[in-house]
Order: sequence, then C-alpha cells, then structure tokens
Amino acid sequence: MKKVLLLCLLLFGGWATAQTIGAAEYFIDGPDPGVGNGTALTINANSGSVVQEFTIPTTGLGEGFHSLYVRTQISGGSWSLYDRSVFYIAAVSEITQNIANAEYFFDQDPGLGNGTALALTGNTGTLTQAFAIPTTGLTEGLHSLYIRTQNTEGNWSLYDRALFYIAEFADENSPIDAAEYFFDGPDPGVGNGTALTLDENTGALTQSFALPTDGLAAGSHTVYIRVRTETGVWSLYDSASFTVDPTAIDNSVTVTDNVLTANFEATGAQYQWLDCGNANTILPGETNRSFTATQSGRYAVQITFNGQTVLSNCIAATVDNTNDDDSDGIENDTDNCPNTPNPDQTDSDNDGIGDVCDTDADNDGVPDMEDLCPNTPEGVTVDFDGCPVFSLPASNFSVQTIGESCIGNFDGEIGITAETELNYTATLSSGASSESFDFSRELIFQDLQAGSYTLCITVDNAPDYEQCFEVVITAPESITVSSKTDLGGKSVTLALAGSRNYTIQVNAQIYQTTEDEVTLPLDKIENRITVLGERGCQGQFEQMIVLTDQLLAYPNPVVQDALTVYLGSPEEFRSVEASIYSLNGTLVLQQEFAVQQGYLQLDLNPLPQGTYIVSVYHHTQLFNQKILKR
Amino acid sequence: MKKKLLFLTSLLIGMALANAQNVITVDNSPGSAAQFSDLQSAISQAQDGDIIYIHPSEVNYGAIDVNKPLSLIGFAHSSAEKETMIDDIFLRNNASNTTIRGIHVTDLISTDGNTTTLQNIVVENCLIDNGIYFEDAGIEGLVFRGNVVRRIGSTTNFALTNNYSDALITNNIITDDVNVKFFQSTTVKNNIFLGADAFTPVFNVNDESGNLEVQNCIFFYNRSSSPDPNDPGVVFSNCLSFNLSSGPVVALQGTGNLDNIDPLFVEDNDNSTFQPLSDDFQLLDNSLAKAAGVNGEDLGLFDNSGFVFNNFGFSNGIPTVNIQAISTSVAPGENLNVIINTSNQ
Repeated sequence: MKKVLLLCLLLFGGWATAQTIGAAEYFIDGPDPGVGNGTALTINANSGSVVQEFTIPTTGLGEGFHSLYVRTQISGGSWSLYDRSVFYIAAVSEITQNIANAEYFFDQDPGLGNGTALALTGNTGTLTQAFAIPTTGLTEGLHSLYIRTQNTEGNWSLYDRALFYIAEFADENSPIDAAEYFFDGPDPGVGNGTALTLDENTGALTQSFALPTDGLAAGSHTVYIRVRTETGVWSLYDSASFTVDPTAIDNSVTVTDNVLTANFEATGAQYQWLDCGNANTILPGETNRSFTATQSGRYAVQITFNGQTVLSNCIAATVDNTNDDDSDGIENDTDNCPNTPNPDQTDSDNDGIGDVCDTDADNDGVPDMEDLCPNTPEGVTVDFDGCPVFSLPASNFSVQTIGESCIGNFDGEIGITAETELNYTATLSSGASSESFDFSRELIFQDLQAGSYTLCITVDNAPDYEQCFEVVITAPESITVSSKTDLGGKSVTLALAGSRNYTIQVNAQIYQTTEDEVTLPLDKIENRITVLGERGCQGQFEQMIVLTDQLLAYPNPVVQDALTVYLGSPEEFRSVEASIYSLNGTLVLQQEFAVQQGYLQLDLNPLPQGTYIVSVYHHTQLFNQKILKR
Repeated sequence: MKKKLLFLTSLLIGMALANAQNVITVDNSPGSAAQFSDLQSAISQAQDGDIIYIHPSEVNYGAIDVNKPLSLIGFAHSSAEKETMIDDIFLRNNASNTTIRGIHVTDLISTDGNTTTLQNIVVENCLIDNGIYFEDAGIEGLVFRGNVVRRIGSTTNFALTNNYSDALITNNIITDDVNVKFFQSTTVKNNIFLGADAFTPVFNVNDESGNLEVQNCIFFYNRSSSPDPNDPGVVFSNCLSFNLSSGPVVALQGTGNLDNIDPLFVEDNDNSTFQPLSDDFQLLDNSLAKAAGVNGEDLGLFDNSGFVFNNFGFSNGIPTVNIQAISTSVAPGENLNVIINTSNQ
C-alpha cells in the first residue's frame, strides 16, 4: 500500500515587509534532526505568506500514532519554530477487494478456516452464487448449514445459517410388494397376517382375491387387509364385514364360449359384471344375469340379493375374432374402425369413421397430422394446411346479361349483384381487351357488343379468392312469321318467332303481343298484315290476305308493285296462263305463271302507265279485270 | 437413500420410517380388531421410537399425552370416506423426536407445562382446528409442513407461548396467523394464508431486534375491506397478495412481491375457505406465481421441493388400501372374494 500524508500549510514570512518564504522542511516523529536538516519542501513563489498543500510519503512508518513537524525559512534568513501535527497510520480495507474464499459446515463450528471450502466465481467484493452441497453422512432430521466467506485481506465474515430437513423422498412409484389379511382379530401385528400375492405394479394396484374362509363359523365376520411398499412401509388396514351364511347366494358362473351366466337366479337379484383384466372395472350396462364378452378375458359378476352381495371368481371367456380384426366385438364389415378397437363405435362427426381412427377430425380433407387447424368448422373452405381461407357462397353473385339491341349497336349490358356487401373488383375480358371496376353491391358493364366474355370477381384482402363467369351477349334474331287464314272464320293465325314481343298491324288495327302464336280477326276483303319485332332491326313481315273465293287481282291501281292475282282458293297450286292486253286489244304480255297457295304475281313494271286488261284462264273459265298502272 | 441439498433454499424432502421400529395398531371404531382400542393405552405400552397406526373412526380419540418419542400416523384428515380424529395432543417432557401425521386434530397441539425443551418434532399432513402452541419450555427443532392450521403460536402472552426455534414452517395452509419469537432460526416459506388475519397474519414477537423474512407465500383474502398483511419486523420476499372482494391488499413490504395479483389456482377462486374435496391450490400454467419464488420456484404450496401437499391429509409416504368390493355373504367354507385398490399416493 502506498502511504502518503496530505498536508496543507499556512506559512508566513514574518512581520518584516517584503520578506518571502524561501524554504521549508519537515521531519516525522523525531528526534529533531536540527534546522536545515529536515526533508525539504518546495515552496511556491510568495510575498511572505503562502498556503500550500504537500504530499508527504509515510513509507516505513508503522501502524500507530505519529507526529509531523514542519518549519520554514525566510529567504536567506531565519527559520521558524516548527509546527507539529499528530496523525494515525492504520491499514485501510478496500471495499472493492474480492471475496476470495468461502467455507461451510453442518451443525457444529469447526473453527475459522476449518470448514469445507467452496469454490467461488470471480467477483469484485460482492457475489451471489448457488452451490450443490453434498449431505452424505448426515442423519435423518433437522440440520443447520453454516456458511462464511473471507476477503483477500484474510478477514472472515460471521457465518450465516439456514435450516434444512433430511428425510428419504417419498416415492409414489415405489411398488407395493406385499399384502396381508386377517379375519376378525385381534390384529396379529403388521407382517403377521396371511400373505397375499400381488401383481406387479408401480405404486397403484387394483386386484381381486379369493380368500378362503375355512374354519369361520356361521355369522358375522370382518376381514382386514393392509399392504406394504417395497421400502417396507405398511399401510393402515382397511376392513369390511361379511357373513358366513349357509343360505348364501351361489356365486358360481357357467361359461359357454364367450357367454358367461351367473348360476344364481332369483326375482329381484341384481347383477354387475366386472372386467378382471382391467383393474376389475365395472362394465357399464352389463347388469344382466348373462354377459356376452366381446373380447377374450377374465370376468366376474357381483350379485346383490336381499341385502347380501357376493362376488364370483374371475372366469375366463374366449371370443372368436376371425371376422373382427381389432377384437372389439364389432365385425369388420360394420366396424367403423375395423383395425382399432372401439366397441362403443363413437363417431362424433357422423362421417362414418369412428373417432379413435378418424384421421381427419374436422373433415376438411387435410389429415390431422398435417392439419394446422384441426378443428375447422364443417363446410369451411380450407387451404393446404387445413386452415380456413376466405370464401363466399356460390350464390353470392347474380350475373344478368342484356343482349345487343341490334347487331353493331354496342348496347349490350352485363349486370352484377352481390349478396354480401364487400369491396369487390370485377374484370370483364373479351379476347385481348379487358376492363375492371370496383363495386360493393351492384355493377353494370355497358355498351357491350355481342360476343363471349369472361367476368372475374376478386375481393379486397382476400388474395386467393376469385370467382369467374362465362357470359355471352347475344345479337337479336330476325323475326319469322307464318300465317294461316281461316276464310270461314275471317281470321288469321300468326306463328311468331325471333323476338320477345311483336307489334302487329291488321289494316288500321294495331296489336301488341309477347305470345308466339296469335289469332286476329280480318274485317276486309283485302287485309294487309304487318308484323314488327321488338327492335326495328329484326325485320318486318307483311302479307295481304284476301277473303274471297273469287278471282281477284290487286292492288288496283298498281304503282311499282307486282300485280297479285288470287285464284279464289288457297288450295290452288297449278300453273295458269295469264295475258295482259291494252285497251285497244293489243296483247302486251302472255306467260305461264306458277301458282302458290292460290296466288300468282305479274310484274307490270316494264309497262308504261295506262289502263290494261288482265286475262287469266283458269279451270276452263276466262277471267278478265281492268287494271290501272300508274 | 438418495440425498440432495440445494443451498440458498431450504429443501424439504419426504421422510420414511425406520424398519426396526414396531408398528402398533389402534382402532376405536366399534368391533375393531386392532391391537389397541384406546390410543393413550397404546402410547403407554409403546417403546421409544415405535410407530402407532391410528385407524380412522367415527369416534374421536380424545386428548392424549405423548411422553416418549413416537410416530403417530393417521389415515387422513379430510378424506371423503373416513378420517382419524384426535382432540388434543399434548407433547409432554420426553416427547422429543415425535412425528405426527395424517390426523385431524380437532382442537390443539401443545407443549403446555413442560420443563424440558423438546427436540425434533415433525407435524405434517394434519388438519389442526385450533392451533399449535409452544408454551413453557417449547420446542427446538420443528418441521411443520403440509398442514392446514388455524394458528401457529399465539398472540396472547406471546412472549410465553411462542417458544420454538429452529423451525421450518412450509407448504401449509394457514387460516389465521403465524407468531414467531425466534425469527432468526425460523423459516416461513411457501405457505398459503387462506382468508387469514387481515392485519397481522405474521407476527414477529421480537420485531425490535430484526426482521422475519417471509418467502414465497400467497395471501389470499375475500374481504370487503383492504387487508394489510404488513407488520413491524416482518418483510416479505417474493410473496403474492390478492383479495377476491372489493378492497385491494396493501402493498407488501419487501422485495419481489406480486401485489393484488390473482394467483389463478386450479380451483378455489370462488372463496377463501378450505374445501378439501373441491379445492385445488395448484397454479394454472398462466399464473404469475409460477417460477416467481426467491429461487425460481413456484409460490404457494407446490414448490417442487419433493414434498407434495395433499388436500385430504393422507400421511406422506404411507400407502393406502381400500376394499373396493366384497361378498357380503358367503357359504361356509366358500372363498371370500374381495377386490382391493391400493396406492402409494
């Protein structure tokens, strides 16, 4: 340790003015070496008075009290008397020094440094550390652990003490390796009863015994049973009363293959079958006198009658399992888990696969071993990990089309209605072109031409969802009309096709219809019928119907149209010869004409305006009519 | 024998009985066949170090004096089927090295009138309705664990009734208070104070000479006011407090405490009374009391120290046997068929 003494001095050069302090010296303890012979101190420049701090080594001084003597000298002049100050030297323990050692002992202090050493980790004077300290040799019971530590200077702490208790661990898995019983008493003392042989166990056991009662007189008795652990610890006994009764219930059992039947039968008797091979557990529901085993094993019956209860011996039963691979009593062809025993056939999700072998409990198509979401509700769409993905019912979207009004009009429409309001994007594609629009409930694509389209709908924040539709915008058809005239009834029946509705004009009367067949009255000899479809571009049907059984030529006058000659019967198909004469008798035209449904047509366009005579020879009759050509 | 000690914690481990000891059976139920029907007579006849099995009975065995080192083993204190009841146990002079387990003490355990300080007394798996008191010469060396007790020591004449030292008080349910005189040699750790004293559940008689450190304990109240477990001379380390009712528990004085945090028992979040057939004071996995102890152990009764608290008070390390089924009537000479189930707990 470096030892120094800090000293602060107030030095005066005396009362003479302008005299400076020129030197100073000190000595420790003494004797006084004489003025000028002490250890010199260097004085700062001054004008006769100075306050100055010095560091004075104390090396070599022992612990204890010492005196420091200091005196000064006027420059080139006299020395002062010394001043003396007492100081004390002692070792100072540094608080940051390490904890260097530790030791422990049990119960009795062996003295400092005589305990069992503990290895410490590095530290700078403060330490928290855990130890595993052996207790070998300590007896069972309460003990005290004492620990103390030592710093690098060799100083020991006072010890700290903690109580602990030593006893053997109670091991619940320690086998129960012995049992004994005695009847009535007195208690022969533990270990002195009649021994019972126990099955192997790991600290818990249920076992049945048949205890001989030879020598017990008729009447009430008590049986006492206790057990012992492998470590030799006996239990307290348990006891139960019974009666030796000459009229006791027969507890024997008859077995045929896998059917066991209690031989005792009486009205009011209660039976309960037990599974001896499964810790004598009660077989739920098996409360009849006979019991059909579904698995080979050993079984017993407990019979209660008139306040008595008897227990049969455990009886072996064998079950033929040739068509029951898992031996659960359910034949393979009706077993919902043919390779896994499940006699209760529990099938919670009613999927035809028993719970114990159902590898897809939520029926989402992803096996449970791979299913990250094994409890997905029924019907929910899932991804490859078996977890729900966004979906909408197939009926969520209603798509309607409106065909083009006329080819080339570009006025077709596709309308979308969503049942669930969400942020949708609909993309309509045809060939290389497409267009997209956002909507939440309804959307109409307009100005579409006839053709096939693909309509796909996506939903915001559901990147894996898309539903597409193939949509066709149709072009309108041309109307087709056929007519059938009822001369007697003076009506015409029109068969209509090509449009959703029709406008029919008969002479001056106008009719609207959406029917594909309609019968209309004819009120004139010559009836002009015109039929139009929904749109003008669907074409027009025109027909003149003549209600007569006489020959008739029309129209008259004729302008540019052909002249139609009705022969008086729609049944007429034979060709006829027709001639046209000018008024002066000159033959202008003579020709054989084909007849269709009683009509033939003559083209008068080549003829100049004027008046002519049309002459038709039909059925040996000659028909003449004057016609005005304009 | 496997032995292990962890420093910085007091490790409590189970105990076994020496094979050389005699086992004496006592049963006062009518018609029983035990070696003794009167417990005091069995004690009188017993040799030092003997084990007395006190079988369960509907009849209380009454008040007994223990004046020699014995192990008194009952069946259980709160089993649904049966229990062993003793009214008072007076540990007299010469009762050092006595063990009491699996007994419902319907009144108290006491050292009243002794002139000799008893050594090494073990009380575990007991239900003590009134309390255990250390009058006169008292006890030096006490293991008190796995019990359900109203009171340890007394606040009445506390300088005279708490004469116990070198004591481990661990893994107990305490329904009123613990009173400590020699706090430097007393460990109070991993207990549950269940509906205990609202204001002085732990009392340090010598509070002027230092602090008793209470570790890893749970203070579980159901009071409409604000309980205050703090008291001069008592500090709490890594303890938890909770009040089921409206008033918050005053913050525990000490370090590492969890104030007003529900410990989340597996069962008994409904009240603060001991109901052995339904309560389960183990901690749920998400309890903040898990691994919150001074050495990383759980708070409360179950600290993984090797000793396991059980509600019913089955004697630790003693197997149990039950006759599950029996033929109540057999023909002469016919076998008596019985089914037993037995457990090493």
